[in-house]
Amino acid sequence: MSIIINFKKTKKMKTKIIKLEWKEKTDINKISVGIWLKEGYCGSY
Amino acid sequence: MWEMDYKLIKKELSIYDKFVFNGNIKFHKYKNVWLAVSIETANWIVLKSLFQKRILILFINGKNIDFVLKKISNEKEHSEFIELLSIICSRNFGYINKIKHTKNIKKEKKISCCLTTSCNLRCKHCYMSAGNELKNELKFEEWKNILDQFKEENGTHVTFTGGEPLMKTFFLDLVKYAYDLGFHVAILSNGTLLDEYKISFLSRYIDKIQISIDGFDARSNYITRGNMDFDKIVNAVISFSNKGVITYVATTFTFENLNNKTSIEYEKLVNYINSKCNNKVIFRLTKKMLKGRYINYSEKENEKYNNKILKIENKINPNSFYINFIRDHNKNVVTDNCGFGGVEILSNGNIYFCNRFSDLECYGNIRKNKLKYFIEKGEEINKKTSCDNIEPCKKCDFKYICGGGCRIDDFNFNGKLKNFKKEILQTTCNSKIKNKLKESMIKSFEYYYKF
Repeated sequence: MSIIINFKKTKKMKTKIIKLEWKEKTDINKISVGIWLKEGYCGSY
Repeated sequence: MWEMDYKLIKKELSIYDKFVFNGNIKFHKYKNVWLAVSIETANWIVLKSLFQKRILILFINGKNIDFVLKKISNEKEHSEFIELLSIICSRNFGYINKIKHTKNIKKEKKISCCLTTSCNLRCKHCYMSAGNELKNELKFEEWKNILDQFKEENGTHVTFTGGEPLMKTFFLDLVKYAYDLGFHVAILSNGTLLDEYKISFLSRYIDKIQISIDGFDARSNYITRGNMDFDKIVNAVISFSNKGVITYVATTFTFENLNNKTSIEYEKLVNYINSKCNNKVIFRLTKKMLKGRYINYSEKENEKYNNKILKIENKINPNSFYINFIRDHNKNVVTDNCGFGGVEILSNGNIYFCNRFSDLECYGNIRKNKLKYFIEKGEEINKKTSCDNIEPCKKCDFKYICGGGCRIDDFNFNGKLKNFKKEILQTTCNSKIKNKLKESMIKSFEYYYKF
């Protein structure tokens, strides 16, 4: 997590915008386990 | 510094923003975290503290960010607060100042067409025992008529399967016909009857292909399929992928070709194919053996089988389960059924609502009724067996995330729903399964997102 705004600064300067940052995985998986009777996954858990 | 396999997401919020939550939010404490589940939108987030839970409740009660900021008294709380905002935004768990519709089910309207039970192979595990064609199989003109009817019903996706669909001389023409009607076309094939011309032709008209390779090399594949065309099939996979078709390799091992080296050898096959392809091929491993031509594993044998398959998956990517889990659960998309009720047309025109044909009763024949009749019947059955209408799922907070499991294996009617009078019960759900689901939700979330 990256905190862009400073806590004290927020209080004193009344910052009105909160900037958020996070990360998400990008890798494409090569393998999947399931029951493949159709062209997609059959069954859900 | 960000790791290479993560992308950085940025978002700005105003302190006057409010979140709108479209589903009822329920909290479940599991081990040292809180799962917040939005029931109707099948969404969830993972909270690491009671403080984050309290803040989320303030947002649920309509308080804006500014109101909550004023309640914060130290840096630690502030840090957890910012993290919570990111968590909510990452999963679209709440929307900023706007309402989205609540029950968002996948809009695809599909039919599956088993063009023939004829097959040039005699695989030991084939759940259809495919080989010879049925008497009175549907002809080209009849299939075209079915597709025309499906178009009138606003159908979107058509899958052609068999047997081996390439056994039918009209197959290529039928694929083009489906494409020309505007359908997304997928095909399932054993790959042995493909040549460069057919691959080039089909690549123009299909979105997806699933090709079966039941081993890691020619000998291993031969043990199950009795066919030595391994290299030819591998090359077909590579060709389709490089022509822009979404390509899957479906592999069903048997105990006969599963050994200590399987994980390593299968990984080599996966890496070899992907090294030759510009687009990644997805490998699909069968986790449970259905009753087939010469194979009928007991429950205990299937458990052992499943463990062996999971070892292969784990060797190729230890995190594969979590990646698949979070990607199979699109944000705010509801899964209320396994797919039971989808129209499956057997080659003689018989209609089933899942393609485990041997486990089901036939609901009629396409030569006697219009496709519209069966689509409506299927939708009715899909609704009757949806999580909203079955015990104990209908009262479960996780119903739209879980989907309820296989309607044939996990229910008291075993897929034979025609004239079924009893209340429909999910028979396999228990605390162990629920806890496994919670673990999957938490671990996949923690693996996929970094805050």
